Amino acid sequence: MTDMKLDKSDFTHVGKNLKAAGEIKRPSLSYWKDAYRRLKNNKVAMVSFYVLIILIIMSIVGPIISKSLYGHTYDKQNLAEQNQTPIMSNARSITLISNDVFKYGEYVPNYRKSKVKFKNVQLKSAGKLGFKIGNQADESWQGDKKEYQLVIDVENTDTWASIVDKLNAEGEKLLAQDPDFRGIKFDKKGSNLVVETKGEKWFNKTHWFGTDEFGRDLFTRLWEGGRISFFIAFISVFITAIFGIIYGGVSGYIGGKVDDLLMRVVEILMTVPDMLYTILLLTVMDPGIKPISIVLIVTGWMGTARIVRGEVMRLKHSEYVIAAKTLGADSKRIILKHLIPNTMGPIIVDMTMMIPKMIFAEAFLSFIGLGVPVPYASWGSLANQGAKIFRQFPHQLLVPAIAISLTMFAFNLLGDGLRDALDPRLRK
Amino acid sequence: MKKILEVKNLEVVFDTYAGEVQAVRDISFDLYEGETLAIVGESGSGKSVTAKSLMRLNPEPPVKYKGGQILFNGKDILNTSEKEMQKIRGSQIGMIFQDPMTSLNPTMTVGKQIMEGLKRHQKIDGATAKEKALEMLKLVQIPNPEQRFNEYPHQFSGGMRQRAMIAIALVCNPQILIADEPTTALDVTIQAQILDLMRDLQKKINTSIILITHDLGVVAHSAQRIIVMYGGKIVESGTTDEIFYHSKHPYTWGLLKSVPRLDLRKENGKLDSIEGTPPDLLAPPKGCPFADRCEHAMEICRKQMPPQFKTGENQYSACWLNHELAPKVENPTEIAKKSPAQGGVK
Amino acid sequence: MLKYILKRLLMALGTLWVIATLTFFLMHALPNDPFTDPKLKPEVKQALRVKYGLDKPLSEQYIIYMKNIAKGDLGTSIKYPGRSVTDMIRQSFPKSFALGWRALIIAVVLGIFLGVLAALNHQKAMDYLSIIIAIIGVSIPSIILGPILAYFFGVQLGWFPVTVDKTQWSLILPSITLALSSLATISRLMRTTTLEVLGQDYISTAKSKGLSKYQTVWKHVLRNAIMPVITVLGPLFASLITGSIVVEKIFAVAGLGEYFVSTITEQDYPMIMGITIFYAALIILSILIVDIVYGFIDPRLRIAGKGGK
Repeated sequence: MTDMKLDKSDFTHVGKNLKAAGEIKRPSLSYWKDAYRRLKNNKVAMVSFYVLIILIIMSIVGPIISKSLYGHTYDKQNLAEQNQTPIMSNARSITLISNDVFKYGEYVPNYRKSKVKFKNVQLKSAGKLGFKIGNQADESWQGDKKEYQLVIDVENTDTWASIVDKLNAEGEKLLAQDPDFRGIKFDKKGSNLVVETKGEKWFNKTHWFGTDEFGRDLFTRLWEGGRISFFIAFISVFITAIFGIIYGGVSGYIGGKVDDLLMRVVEILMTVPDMLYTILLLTVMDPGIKPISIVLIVTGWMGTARIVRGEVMRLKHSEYVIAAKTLGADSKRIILKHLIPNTMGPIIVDMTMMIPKMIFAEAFLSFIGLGVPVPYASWGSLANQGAKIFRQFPHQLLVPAIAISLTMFAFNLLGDGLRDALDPRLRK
Repeated sequence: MKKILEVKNLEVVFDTYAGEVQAVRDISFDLYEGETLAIVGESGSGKSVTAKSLMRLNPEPPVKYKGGQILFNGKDILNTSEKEMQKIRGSQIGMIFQDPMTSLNPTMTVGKQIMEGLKRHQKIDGATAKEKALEMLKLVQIPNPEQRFNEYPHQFSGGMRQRAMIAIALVCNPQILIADEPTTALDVTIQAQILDLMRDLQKKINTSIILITHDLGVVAHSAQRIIVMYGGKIVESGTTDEIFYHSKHPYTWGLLKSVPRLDLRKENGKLDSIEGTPPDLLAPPKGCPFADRCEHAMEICRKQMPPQFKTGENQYSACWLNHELAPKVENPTEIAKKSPAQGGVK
Repeated sequence: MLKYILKRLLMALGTLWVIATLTFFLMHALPNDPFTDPKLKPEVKQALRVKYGLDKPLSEQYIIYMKNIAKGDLGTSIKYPGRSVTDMIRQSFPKSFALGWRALIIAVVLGIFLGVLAALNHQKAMDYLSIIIAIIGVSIPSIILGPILAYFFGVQLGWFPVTVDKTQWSLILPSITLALSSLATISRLMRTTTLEVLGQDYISTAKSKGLSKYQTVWKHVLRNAIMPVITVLGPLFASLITGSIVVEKIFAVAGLGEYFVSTITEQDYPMIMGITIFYAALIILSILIVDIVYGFIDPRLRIAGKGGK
């Protein structure tokens, strides 16, 4: 205890050092600045935000780009270019035309029949085995109208190995005769016979996302659809918010019997399943962008109203409102300066989370045929059309699907992030 | 008196994204059979963390027990497996928490919550367990115990809930009862009842009590020995008399002075408080933690941690003022001036 | 307790009445005549109108309508005379129900399980996994997910048949598709409530009694965390119903949802009204059941707090 060499000088009086003791280690931030800082730190939310910005910009700019480059519009049809894919290949289709030789369990072609799989094949007898390679009607894929016949004779002495060799040899022969044939490969994998034609692959230069069954450019339609989907979603959310804020704000602020009544009405309305009402209303009205928005608003404002009313009630009795009243502030001032800024937090979160619900609702309505009328496109109607021929041309579903999912995903994450950032309890 | 618990050089830290927060920095103390030991300090002093460490109740990340030992019944608590700890908790050491409103499961009857501990630690059947639980309810002076047994916490008042908590903690006759701010959330009138109840039970069951509090009134009422904590360290320890009347640490003086007293009128009518805020335990000062707020601070105080000077028969004060080379400073609290030893009135 | 049940029952009936009324007025606010077939001669049209009671004043029609509903008669189709709404429901609903209860069980059981596991393993692998599943379920609507699942698991991998037939196996894919978004909601909510409960003081109390982790979770955490989740089960029914519309179309299930869509396209108004009311009644009934169950589980509702000293 007394090992250290201490002398009298060590014991000179210095007194308090309140600066160190009272120092606020971090600068104090206002509510909004702090929320902004927290949001910026949330990487996931920020990435979502940028993704959404990109999607929105593309919706605005996309159709303009493709119009100026190729003259595409969302409704221009060109049947010669129907059902093109983003990645083009001129591999020819394969059709089995004569088969005495084998039986198979299952026939699995890809959507253009350029690669077909015969599962669980078994040799039956000798005879002719012939394929038609290419198809005159496939001009939009192949680039030409050529067809070829590939036929071999199978003997009783042939095994699968020798059959495959014969087929491949015949293919080589055809290729040597006409390079446009492009080549074919036969293979036996396990108990399956796999046939694949060769061809070049390249990115579709004129139709970046391919086309639909009427030859309409999907890139243009996607971004036009984005315009419509975002427009509907944003307008609906915005107006819903206004109704909700007014209704909820008034109800919460006035309180008492008025509030009871107004909230009862909302409660009953809310038990009414909104999808059913959207459907009923749309059946009654002619489809279009305005009716859809109206319907979405009518079914959406109640949630916001509830939240706003809750917040207003909570704040009405909070101390600083009472303090402001004591200092002589009138109602208008109280509402503007105190209530609104402090209720904005949950309202913003609510609005952000409503947008994906609106987008989903619009997609659902399109699915059941109550969406935007043809030839307009919205992401929902594109998804609907794509779902119908998903097995043959998956890209027609995948392209709007990715757009919808990405948007909903991003809005959800952003909404979560906003909720965390604006929650006053999480202030550090 | 028999020593039940020995805490030696305990170091506890919190692993946070900003770094390691040193909540408890090398403290040592003992607990004896049948006594009530009070741990006093403000928020952030480390008293709660210390208490929870005794049962390893801290969430283990982010908490890390960096060093020291807690010796209980021949075992080092810091070195026992979780399974072993589960045998100790509730049966050999019990704990009651600050807020009785939230410390009880709202969806389970009070009776069942008391029996839970019994069934876990003792091999008894349901009927015996119920009997014992009812006995406990009677012991903590809850009227109509048979009826209350089947009721839910929300049907109890605040004071009754705290009694129920005590029943739960003591039902297995533990050797140590840790009470973390047991009366802070209660009305003043109920506070005294609860403290008296605890004292009665302590005599009946012969439990040692560790009483965590920031309220000196509670301490005066119930404790025999006191430990004063600040900034994660023990700054003073001793018997209740020694601390109240003969304290040799400026922080304790500050605490004592800040208790509002009706019999001492000041001219300016202001309440005494200690200026400043506790140190940041992310980067604790290397000298005395109280130095920045201490009007008697000296050069040495900023540079070096004071050792525990023996300042009374059972009293230790960690303050450089007690060094032989330090200037003599008198204990300014009124209580000291009126201590019984000087012929004053308590 | 009884008071609570009665109150809820009254609310339910009241809501149903409001819905029936709203539906009625909506359908009769139509500018178009259901009998728009130009081939119909005016006399025939008039006869039809009399038959369907459309010539009577609105208020009378309303009373007839309400009486019929009380009797259980939801009307007859206009496009297919002789087909009554109740017949169609009886015919097609069982198939929807077969999907529906399976989806409900998947969503609830798996959802709760995942949510609890996630909370117990906060910010570790299990947590992130369940968050991902939740987000997928919430972001990818069944319109998109259905065909994709059908393609991969049905066509490519061949594990499941792509359309529903008499086998149990074939019901799995559509049930999962239907369940997914509800599963996501439930697991997300369960995770939040479990995390909240884990931070509560009474969990510390349980730990201080020496209870094992398993005991703590089972007896203390679950019962408390599940309560907010139960309250969302009622409205979840509504999303199961709208979801069924989509799933039935994708997987070619001849259920009520699929039929509903076709009546919408055909503009068969009485059918649309009738089925809407049926659906609404289902939803209200399920909300009522959930409310009652909740009343039993939460002791604070069962017994008013006395809190005497």
